[in-house]
Amino acid sequence: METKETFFDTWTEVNSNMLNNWKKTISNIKQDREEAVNMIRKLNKTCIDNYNKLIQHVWGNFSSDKMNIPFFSVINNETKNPGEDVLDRLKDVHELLNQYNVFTYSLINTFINSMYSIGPEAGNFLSFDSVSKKHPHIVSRWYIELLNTYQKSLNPFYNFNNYFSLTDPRICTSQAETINKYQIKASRMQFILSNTSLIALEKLTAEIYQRIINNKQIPNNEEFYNEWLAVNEKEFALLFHTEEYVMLQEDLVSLHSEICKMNEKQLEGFLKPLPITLKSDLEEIHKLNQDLRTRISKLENEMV
Amino acid sequence: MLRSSPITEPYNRELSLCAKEPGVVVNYKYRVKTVNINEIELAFTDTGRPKNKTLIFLHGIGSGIPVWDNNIDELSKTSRCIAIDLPGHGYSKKSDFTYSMDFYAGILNSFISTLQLKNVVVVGHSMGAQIAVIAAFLKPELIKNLVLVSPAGIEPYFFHERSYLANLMCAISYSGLSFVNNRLTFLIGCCYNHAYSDELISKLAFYKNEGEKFSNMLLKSTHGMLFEPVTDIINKIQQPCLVLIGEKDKVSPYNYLRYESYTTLIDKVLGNISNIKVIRLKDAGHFLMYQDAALFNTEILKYLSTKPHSKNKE
Repeated sequence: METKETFFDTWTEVNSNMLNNWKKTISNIKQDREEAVNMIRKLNKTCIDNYNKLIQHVWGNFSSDKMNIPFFSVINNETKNPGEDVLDRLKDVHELLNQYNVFTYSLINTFINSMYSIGPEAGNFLSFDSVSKKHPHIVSRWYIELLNTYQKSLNPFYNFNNYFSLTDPRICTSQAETINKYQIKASRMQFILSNTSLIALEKLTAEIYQRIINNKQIPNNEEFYNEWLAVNEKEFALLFHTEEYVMLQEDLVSLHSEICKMNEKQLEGFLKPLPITLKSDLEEIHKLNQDLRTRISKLENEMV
Repeated sequence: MLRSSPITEPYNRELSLCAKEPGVVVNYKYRVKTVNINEIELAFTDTGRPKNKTLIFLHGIGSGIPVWDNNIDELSKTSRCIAIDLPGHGYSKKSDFTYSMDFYAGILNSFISTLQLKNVVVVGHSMGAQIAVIAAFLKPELIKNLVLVSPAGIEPYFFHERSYLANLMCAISYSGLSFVNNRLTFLIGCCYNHAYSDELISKLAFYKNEGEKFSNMLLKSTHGMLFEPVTDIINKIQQPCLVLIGEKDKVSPYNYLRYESYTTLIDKVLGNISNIKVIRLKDAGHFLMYQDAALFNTEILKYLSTKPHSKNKE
């Protein structure tokens, strides 16, 4: 499958192909009914193929490591035709990447080895919370092993000795559970959205096909586009009326915000020993500043 | 691998779609008049007492005059109330305009001059608020006060975030999802309340045979909202300004791109400016004037009856 830069590039390309195919079709068919039916059949097939390609693209990205390829190709190109400075810079980058690979490799190994001890339930979209309740000692050991791996692997980068301390496993479990919940809900959302757009597409092609079979006037490009919008709206409106959709949307927004806060907190904990100002420090200063400004503004108003 | 809970049955009520069948007449609550502004036919409603203050209501993107249906009755008891269908919306002319914020602001200022309106207070919602700020900045002599409801264009996005959102809208337009996107905005804007969003959607005058024009308008207006922000000029506005926001507003993409909520942001950005007063309505979302009309009207009446504090202290 051809890889595009982003999902939206593929999306735009697939749909503009569809519109262009339609334009080409209606300019070619003139008045020949049989020819028109064949062209529409072909168009129908192209539409479904294109959408399958699109969905494959979306799902493919979940497990693909192709996102890293541009970065590595830049490095390879630079090393083929290097200046001295570039080589010096890249030496560090290579070293960092090697270390990082070792770190990731050992982390994944630790993860997999620990998961073996949990048994077949591991990796089966099972609730993290229930695993930790069933096998508390295994989960605790897993945290400790992960921690050791982090400790050992990050030392060459930051020279921190015994910097990381063991967090309460219950906090880790609840955080992992939040991420797990988000992934399940996001997958479900993606599924129902793509399913609805496929249903709409099938209805649209069936409708247009029927119209031509009945020897009515063939819609021009603008009519086709308007019909396309209207069919989609009808199908999605049905979806929006389901309780499941509304609940999912609300849950995803709140879980997303929770995960962002969690990440921010972890990052701040990690950056704490470094001599930099953190976002939370700035926020406190900002709050004080805002309070003072509001007070000044209030006093000014009173004077007026 | 997916959790297989079935999609529940739709509610037992007729679906309101944004795109109506061609020829269906959507009756507005008040009589619609038209005026020619810069060769564009503009639809508007005019009620209330002509001698008092004139409130001009500007709706947001993909919306229309009916979003003010729950407010005009009450507010027209004390003021003259004019609600406008912006170009590309409702019963105003729909064509291949530029749909930039400057374009809309120019139309608003020409409208005020043509009708020779005095004592003007512009009440703008979402994109309408962004247009109102630009119009007030360009021609301060025409607009006396501003009321900004869930204003757009305040979010300090990075350039890559603006590009991402513009790209997203491009994808929506190409994928035949323009009406869908609009419907979703109304659903989220009414805090996922189907009754309110269905009612509001059913009052809008958009038609199936205008899909291409609607997509075009949505795409260009979004582009305008993203790339003509008012973050820099809102500090320079001299007119007194009331900002009303719903605490449950989840329509702004700021909620998703950063983890900070839109309401907190508004407090931070606008809370310190001396001529701006920010009021938060607790249980309301993006369409607070429709959902929480009683409280909304009370706040506006209270604001209009007090002498607001302007930056000019002559």
